[in-house]
Amino acid sequence: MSLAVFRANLWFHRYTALAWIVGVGFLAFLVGALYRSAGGPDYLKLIDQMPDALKASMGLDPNTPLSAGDGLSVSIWLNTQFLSYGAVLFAIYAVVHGTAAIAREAEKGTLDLVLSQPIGRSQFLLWRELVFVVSSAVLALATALTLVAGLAVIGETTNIPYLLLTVFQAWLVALAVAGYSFAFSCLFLSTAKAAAAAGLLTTAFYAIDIVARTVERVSWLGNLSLFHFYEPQHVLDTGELSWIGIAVCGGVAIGATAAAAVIFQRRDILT
Amino acid sequence: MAPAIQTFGLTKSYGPVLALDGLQLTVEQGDIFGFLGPNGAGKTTTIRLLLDFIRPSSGRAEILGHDTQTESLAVRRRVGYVPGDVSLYDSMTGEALLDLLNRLRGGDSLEQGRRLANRLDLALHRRIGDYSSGMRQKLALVAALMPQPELLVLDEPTKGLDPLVQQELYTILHEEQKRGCTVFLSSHNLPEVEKVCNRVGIVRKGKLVAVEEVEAIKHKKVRMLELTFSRPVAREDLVMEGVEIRSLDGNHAQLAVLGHVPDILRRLVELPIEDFEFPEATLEDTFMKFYDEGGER
Repeated sequence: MSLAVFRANLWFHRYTALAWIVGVGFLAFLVGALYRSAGGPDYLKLIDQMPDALKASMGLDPNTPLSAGDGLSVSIWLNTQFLSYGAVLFAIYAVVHGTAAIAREAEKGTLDLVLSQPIGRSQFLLWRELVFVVSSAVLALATALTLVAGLAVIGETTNIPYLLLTVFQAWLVALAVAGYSFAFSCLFLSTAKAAAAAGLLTTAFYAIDIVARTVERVSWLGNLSLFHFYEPQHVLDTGELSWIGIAVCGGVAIGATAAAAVIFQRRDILT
Repeated sequence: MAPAIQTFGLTKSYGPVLALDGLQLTVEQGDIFGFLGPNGAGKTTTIRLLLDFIRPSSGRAEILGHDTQTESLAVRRRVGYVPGDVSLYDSMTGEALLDLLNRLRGGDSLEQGRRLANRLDLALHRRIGDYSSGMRQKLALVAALMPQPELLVLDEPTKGLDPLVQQELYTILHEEQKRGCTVFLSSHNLPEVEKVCNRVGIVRKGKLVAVEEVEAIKHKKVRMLELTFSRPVAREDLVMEGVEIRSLDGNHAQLAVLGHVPDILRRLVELPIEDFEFPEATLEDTFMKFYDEGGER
């Protein structure tokens, strides 16, 4: 019976999800399709001449070979032009979706309608979160496919399994961000306050990661950021996922969801 | 048979504000119970506590024998609820919303919902966003009645309904009572409660000040009477048992009638009355004066 909540919420969320899929997908397609025209020797030179710290902020190791054959490698192009901030895009989607999930229902008063039915608060929360899990998975998959499609129109390709793994890693970060966004949504029952809190925390994570990547003596700070565990260049080149990263992102997602459930279960739903 | 509603010292405070103070209330199964009180008296707080939307500061409540907190799901399986401020999913049609709520209850009562909607003249195919406030109220009522619950909790259910639909709703509530359903109806409208309820609880400033049979309430009711005379009358002419002179200004008098009506009318008929009117009295005017905060005066 609770599947009805999932289906209804998927339906309510259809336009937002579709807009994100189309928007991010179009951007990814464009990046793929522009590889040859914009990623030529000048771009290779530009990347090559970047300070190491700036390269590091994009996840480029100083020893990473930038070219493949006589031009910029596809993986460097995809990473510097899209994937290095792909997790941030997914994280924004997670904040937007997660913070509105419960708070908007409370603000509109529709939470009364749902919670007067025989459905537990935690159950309702989990079905709502599952809507995010599914829609963000579709977003991630669509992103990978449109990147590949963009490359395909110019006769290029990349290692598709490795690309899928990279996008999977970004999706894991988004799940963690969604976890605490849901928790803030339950805590404040105000979309604005929840979005402010989740946005601030996500920005802090991103800033910490950038600082840790660019300033070597505080590189240890990176361990405090979710984005530290997103390494698109490494995964694109090797296909190796960090198990610690999976554990941290998964752990934050599950822990924050559990916290959200406890908060939601205990708090008053005021009119 | 467990009471439909039983509360044990139910108390709710928001910081320093005491919204509900030690409510001890029993509503028997089969009653149509009016929960009467002015705005801000604690009616909605009580309802939200019963449905486990908010948690008591102290005390507890049972619905149909189930603890409202620890057995909240069991409670909600057996209760239909119409909130005071109806909020629905605007992007859905009425039919889709009823279908969703029906699925949430795992039931097969959609057809019953359609019948009720038809009876209340509600177009289910339209988007809820295009509904008027009255139509939203009707849909909320249909949604609450659709699963044929054992207890209906209605918070100001006739808000926004036209008189004909109100009358139809009263008929439906009596039918529900015959089916065995208990109705808990919060209102600040005494005539409505008189029409539909058999027992009444009166709440004021967070305290239950009385629980009465409706018939008993009727005897205690204050009626307002405005009289226009063809010539000025003296205050002494209006002094009689069971009448309180609220104002007297030359040819015009406003009276609060508390006593035996036939005796009063016999006295009034001797006066040079040109016109009279029965203005609608506020709840405070009509009968709150019978009750102070501690109980019956």
